[in-house]
Formats: sequence, structure tokens, C-alpha cells
Amino acid sequence: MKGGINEMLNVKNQIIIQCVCIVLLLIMPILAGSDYIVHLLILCVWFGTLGATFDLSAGYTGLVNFGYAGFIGIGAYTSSLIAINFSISPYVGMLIGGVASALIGLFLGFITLRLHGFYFAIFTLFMSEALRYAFANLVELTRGYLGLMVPPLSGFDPTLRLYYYYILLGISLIILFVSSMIVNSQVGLAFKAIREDEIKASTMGVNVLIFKVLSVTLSCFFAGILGGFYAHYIGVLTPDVLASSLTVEILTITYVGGRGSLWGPFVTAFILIFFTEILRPLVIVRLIVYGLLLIIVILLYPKGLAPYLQKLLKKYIH
Amino acid sequence: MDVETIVSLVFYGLLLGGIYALLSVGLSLIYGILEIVNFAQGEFFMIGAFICYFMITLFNTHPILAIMVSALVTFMAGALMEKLVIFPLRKRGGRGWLMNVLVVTLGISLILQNSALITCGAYHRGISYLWSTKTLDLLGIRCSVDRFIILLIAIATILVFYIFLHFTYTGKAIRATAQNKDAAMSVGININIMYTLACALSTMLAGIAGAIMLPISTVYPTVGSSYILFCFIVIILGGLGRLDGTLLASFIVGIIQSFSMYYFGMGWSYFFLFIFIGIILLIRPSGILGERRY
Repeated sequence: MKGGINEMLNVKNQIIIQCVCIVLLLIMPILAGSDYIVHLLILCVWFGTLGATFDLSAGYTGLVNFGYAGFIGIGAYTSSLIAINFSISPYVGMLIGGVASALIGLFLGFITLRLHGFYFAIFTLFMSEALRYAFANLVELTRGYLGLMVPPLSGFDPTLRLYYYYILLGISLIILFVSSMIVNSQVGLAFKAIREDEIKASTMGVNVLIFKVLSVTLSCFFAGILGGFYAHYIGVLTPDVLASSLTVEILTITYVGGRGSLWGPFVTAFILIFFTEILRPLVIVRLIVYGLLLIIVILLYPKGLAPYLQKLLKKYIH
Repeated sequence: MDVETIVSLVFYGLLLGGIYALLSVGLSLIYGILEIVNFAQGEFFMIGAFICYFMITLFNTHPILAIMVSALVTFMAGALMEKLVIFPLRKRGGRGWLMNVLVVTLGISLILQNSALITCGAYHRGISYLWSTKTLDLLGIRCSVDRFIILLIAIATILVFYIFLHFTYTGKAIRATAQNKDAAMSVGININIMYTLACALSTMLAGIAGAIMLPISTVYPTVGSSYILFCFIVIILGGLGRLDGTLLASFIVGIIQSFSMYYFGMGWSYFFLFIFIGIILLIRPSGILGERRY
């Protein structure tokens, strides 16, 4: 979760902020009281983490994955089909789901990333649509739109949402930690170099294709894991997981939060999900709001909320 | 598999191809000139179809007038979109502006689609015929006159568009801007107007496609997204920014789709096209005819 704070705050303050955030995340569901709020918090953490992992490719290397829901869906279906047919622990299943989704990301990356960025955008979108139809039609395997009953996570009382929250929080913190390690390492530097100028990056000895594929594969791997969690949490899986409206939601969170900061999208998810929850019965209006937000952010505030949040933090600390 | 089935499948494929051609020629034009891709193209298809539908059912106008009005409205809407959204982004420029435009047009598409859902509701609306109810007997296959006329209009529109691009001053100016914008500016072409015009023309073609497609497919708020994906595939297959390649590719995609739809069902046609395009991209990354600017 370091990312952008790096430049403005010293190490001590940074660690304090991170600890405060983690403590907040830990005690929030206990304070919440009702099951519904816990469910919302689960959604917030889930979307926030997805926003951050989406950022890995969209914000750092500048490759927008328009079929992100497809990769979430691959993870979800792989994990639940494994759990149903081979009775393997869901926790292992989630990892396998992540690997499956990473493999497809790797394959797509190698086909399209040596070409113009537009090919990648279209191919990911097309892949997720093709898979959505495939999952809907493979009724013997996936039960299509009838919905696949997915076993809950094992090891505790599955009716308690609180446990799900802490498991998700654990997964999310690991993912965020690993992602921030990556973007703050030399690999992250290479990502940013590619984003700024591909040709300059390649003259400095960065293998552009490899690093682009790496960023996409990583981002897909995490999407697969989180997709697996979603399947086991919700319990019923339909091909609608792969619908592009999910991609749009994540994309909006990342763009509003600020690309290239990791923590920006994570924080924004809490604001956006709670705010738009009022509109949840009116899905149509919510999507219009998302569309407007996207246009406003790109035209007027291309850096998103992250710099403003940073200023706010700085004001309170000093 | 008898001959009659094959011929009628080929005919339906050509028909689909004609519609894809109308939609993708516009996409390919703005890619060629602006290097951007418009995700909202399908929504202009939807707008065109809705306008034509309401003109015919509410005011009982002649189909040609309805199509003209659709074309005019989508032309204005496209010009408005370029001026309000794409122009400021282009002026700011900088890295990743293509991706920014993609996301912005995605936003526009969301707004248009869902506004249509609110105002018109999630119903399928359609009319049974635009021109006549008769059927035609062509070489043993039967097809309705309507479908035949649709194909003819699609081909004629593309022909007119081609002539406009190659034989009029404005058309030549658009092509010049696509080839080299600095050189175009130095000979006195106002490239900002050319950009707006190209964008407006491309959405107009989408609007015409929507209007003439009305008797075959019903119109509903998300109708655009079922066509637009194939159009992206078409412009990739045809080589980005290339008119002849785009035309060839739209008929190929149309025919593949009509055959796979007949033999495997609607859902699988996505899958087969996806695999087909994947293979093509592996062998020939720049499309079947290669890349070239107008």
C-alpha cells in the first residue's frame, strides 16, 4: 500500500498510517454489528483489492484489461469446479484458479502485446465474452445460467460472514503487500518506464514484451484468486460473473482512485461501494453514474483521487 | 448439408457482413485518421435504429426519410462527441491517450445504453418489414425482398462513401489528414474540422446500419454491444485503418458467423471466431491484407 505516499511522507509516518489502516480494517466489521454491513465491507475489500490489482497493468504499464471480469470468472469457475469434482480444499482451489487465469493472461499477452495496445484491449474484451457464452452453453459442466452450487469455504461455520471477512482480508493484505513489493522493486521501475515511453525503455535495456506480459499475468493471477473467493463466498455461480459490467465497476474504481498508486483504488472502493449502494436497486442509474465518473475523471482529474487524499493525510499528520 | 442451405447461409453471412462493413468502415476510418477506437459505435447503431423505429411507427414516414433522419441525428451526435470529449483529450495528448479515449468512449457507451434503458425500457421493438413483404426466388433460394434491399443499401452506402473519400475535395482532405497531419496542415487543411467530420461520418454510418437493420433484428438498448465486438474483430482482421481489408474481413466474419450459428448455436460463434482470429493474429499480426493508411 506504499506506492504514491512514498514521495511525500517519511518512512516512520508511512508505517504508522499502514498500521492504523490495518487496525481499522480489522475492527470495522466488529463495530459494524449487522450482517449486511459486514457483507458490504466484504464487497469493499474485494473490489478494492481488485481495483489495486487492475492497477498493476492499467496504471503501471498502461495496459487496460477490458476483460478483467473474464479473468475473475476463470478463477471462480476453475476453483469451484475443482472443489466440486475432485473435492480439493477450496483454499488450494483458489490458487489453482489464480494459476489458470494467469495462464490465459500469459497466452493472450504473448499474442497481442507485441502489437498496438488496442489489440490487447479488444482481445481481452472478446475473450471474456467468448468465455461467458462458452460457460453458459456447457450446461453439463457448469449448469450455465441455472447456477452452479459451490461449496462454502471449509474449516468454520459457513453462515458467519465475519470469518469470510477475515479470510478475505488476509488474502487481500497478502496480495496488496506482494503487489507493493513488486511495484517498488526494479520490476516496478521497468513497468513505469514502459508506461512513460516504450522506445526509450527498450533502449535502456528493458525487455518491453516480457515486462508487459509479466504485469498482465500478475494482475490476472490475483484476479483469479479473488474470483475463487467470490465463488465460495456467494455460493452460486452463473456466467454473469464474466459480464462486462463487473469490469466497468473495477475500471471505474481504479480510474477514480488514481492510476499508478495501488492504495488509491483500494481506498476509493470503500467510498464508491458505500456511496453507490444506495443506487443498488437501480442498477441502470448506477451504471450511468459510473459512466459519468469515468468521463469526468479522465477529462478533468486524470490523476484521480489519490493526490487529494495524500494532501489530506499530510495536513492531518503535520 | 444440401446446396440450398449453404447458399442461404452464405446469403445471410453476406447480409451480416454488409452490416458489419457499415459499422466497421466508420471505426476503421477514425482509427486511420485519429488513431483512436470508439467503444460507443454500437450505441450509435442503437440510436439510429430507435430513431428509425419511432419515425416509422409514430409518424408513419417513408423508410427513406426515416433512414435520412437517423443518419442526420447520428452525424450530429458524433460531431458533438468529438468536440466535447475527444477534442480536449487530443489537445492534452501525452502518453496513453489512446487508452484514455477507449475508457472515455466506454463511459459514453454506458451512459447512452442505460439512458436508453430508462427512457425506452428493456423491450425488443421491431417492425415486420421496411419495404415489402414479398419474397424473391434467386437461383433456387428464397429470400425476402427486404433482406435483399438491405444488402443493396449497405453496399450502395459504402460505395458512396468510397467515392466521397476518393473523388471529392473534402474526402481527399480527410485522407490527407490520415496520411500525414503536418503535411495536411501545411497545405491549408483545417485538420480539426477533418477530425470532427471523420468522427461524425463514422457514427453516421453506424446510424444508417442500425436503421436499415430494423426489419431483421429488433432494437433494444443493448443491441449495439452484440454487433460491436464483431466489428472490432473485423477491423483487426482487415488490418487497422484499411478500407478494402475491412470490407473483405466483414464479409468473412459474417459468413463464418452465419455458418457457426447454424451448426453450433449462437453462443459458440463467439468462440469459433475468437479461435480463428487468434490463429490469424499469430500468423499475420497486421491483418489479412496488411496495415496501411487510407
